[in-house]
Amino acid sequence: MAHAYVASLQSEWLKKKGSLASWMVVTGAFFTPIIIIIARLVYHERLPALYASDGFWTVLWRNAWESMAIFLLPLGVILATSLIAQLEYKNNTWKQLHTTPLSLTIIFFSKLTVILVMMMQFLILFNAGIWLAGVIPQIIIPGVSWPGAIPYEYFLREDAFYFIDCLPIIALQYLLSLHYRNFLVSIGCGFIFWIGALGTLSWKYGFLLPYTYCMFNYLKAGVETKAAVPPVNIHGMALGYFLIFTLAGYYLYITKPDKG
Amino acid sequence: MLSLETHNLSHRFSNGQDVLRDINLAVEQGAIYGFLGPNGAGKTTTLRLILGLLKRQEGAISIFGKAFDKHRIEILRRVGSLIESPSVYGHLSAKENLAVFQKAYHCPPAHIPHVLDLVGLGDTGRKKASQFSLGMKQRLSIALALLPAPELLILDEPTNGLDPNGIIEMRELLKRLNREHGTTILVSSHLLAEIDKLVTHLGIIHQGELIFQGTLEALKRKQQQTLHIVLETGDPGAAMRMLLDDQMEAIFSDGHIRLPAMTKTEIAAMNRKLVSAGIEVYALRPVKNDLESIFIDLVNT
Repeated sequence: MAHAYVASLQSEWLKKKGSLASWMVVTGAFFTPIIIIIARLVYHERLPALYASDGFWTVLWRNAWESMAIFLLPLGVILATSLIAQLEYKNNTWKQLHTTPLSLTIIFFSKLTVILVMMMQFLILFNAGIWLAGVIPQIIIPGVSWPGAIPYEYFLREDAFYFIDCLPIIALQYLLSLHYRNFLVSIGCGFIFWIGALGTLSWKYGFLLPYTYCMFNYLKAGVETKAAVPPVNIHGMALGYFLIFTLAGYYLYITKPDKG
Repeated sequence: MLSLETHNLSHRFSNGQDVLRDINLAVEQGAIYGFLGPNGAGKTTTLRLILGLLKRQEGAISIFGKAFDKHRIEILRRVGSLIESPSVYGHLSAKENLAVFQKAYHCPPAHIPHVLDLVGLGDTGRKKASQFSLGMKQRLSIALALLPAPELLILDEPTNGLDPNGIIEMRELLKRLNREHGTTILVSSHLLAEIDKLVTHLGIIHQGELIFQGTLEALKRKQQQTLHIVLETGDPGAAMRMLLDDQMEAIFSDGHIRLPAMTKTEIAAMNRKLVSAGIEVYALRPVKNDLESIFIDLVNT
């Protein structure tokens, strides 16, 4: 079983090579840091004061995550998850995959694992991008001091929270894109849920929507907003939704009467 | 010994339409079994059921003597397949496509260049499959089916998209695999001429029912049995009376008389007799039943 899972994982990892989803991970991770670098180089006269201030890295982290947590990450997860699952529909390969000596359980979970690993890959690259956004302007612009120690523990904790908060989006998008042949169904539903999440941030029950958790994780971090503070542990709720959506997706997948 | 067997396999679409009724396929080990039928007869549905791509509703499927449902993974390890149109990842090269499935089958990496050479795609390099012609994609799909060195090869219309040379090469490849490795091959097609040149056994399906199953020799015996003579005369009534008086099995239909096969001398003698009796003979021709006419006869019965 474990051997088959590893083989399936290798197979799935190879499939995503050169795919649009894998390019999205790289470009998405460096998009915001590059914008920050350009902005800082344009307004370089402000840099000496900025780099000398306390909490430089935390401010940089929040700046980088601002558009990422609200827009880019949820939308990127919606697109990348749908693209990975849709590889089989697009290439008409479900029938070939389902006639390999792999159990449906292994196929389902190895695909999901690849998506989760891609998510981790994104976070690692995004963290590297944030570091570069701090370091590059300091190297290029003369007279800018080194901004001090990086708060690794804070970064890692926040990374873990964002990862957990994305899990419900991954699981639901995975369910939809496995179940529906038409790519527009999963993407369309994802966009609707994301808009719904944006619209319910200030509603006291907004935390019930599984697409809100990335946004709440950013907004709770001391940012002035009109968002309602969730009265519950959103990370726990994210894990709960992830479990429910994954089990539902698995059930729908293995009971699907037509497998290619 | 049977490599593949179905017992009363039936299938119904969700709208209640019967697609297959009591299909009893029996594919002998080492055979090249042609699964013949017009478009929409139920060939692909049968093959998809056999491979577990459609949920079985009624009947049983056993491959290598084992129930498919209970031994799915064990069976699929020994089966290669191609169902309908090519299934390849467009963003990957031919080699990468095969590597994806090499991991899944856990077969030696050396199989990859071997099967690529077998189907004539050994020199495609890093070219992406999306840039392949339909024929090249079909070849790659056949390479995927051959990758695990299967004991049973299930191919649904494998020559689709291939040019005439490609069709000949594919036929020779399948014959070679069967001869040298003893691979059992189940190949579906609506191309009668193609099946005629390739298979040892045949199953004919029409409107969801298996209307013939047996060896190609058995079908050809049937062909001999159904060979007949067509006679057109100026007075069919008088000709019928005379022929029936001579104990001949003459049948009058569609304005002409149909007679069983006879030798050239017998045909000449009958002609002389008809003319002597003052009956004008307009045409007297043997009708040779090739596979196509047998097939049409069978599906129209």
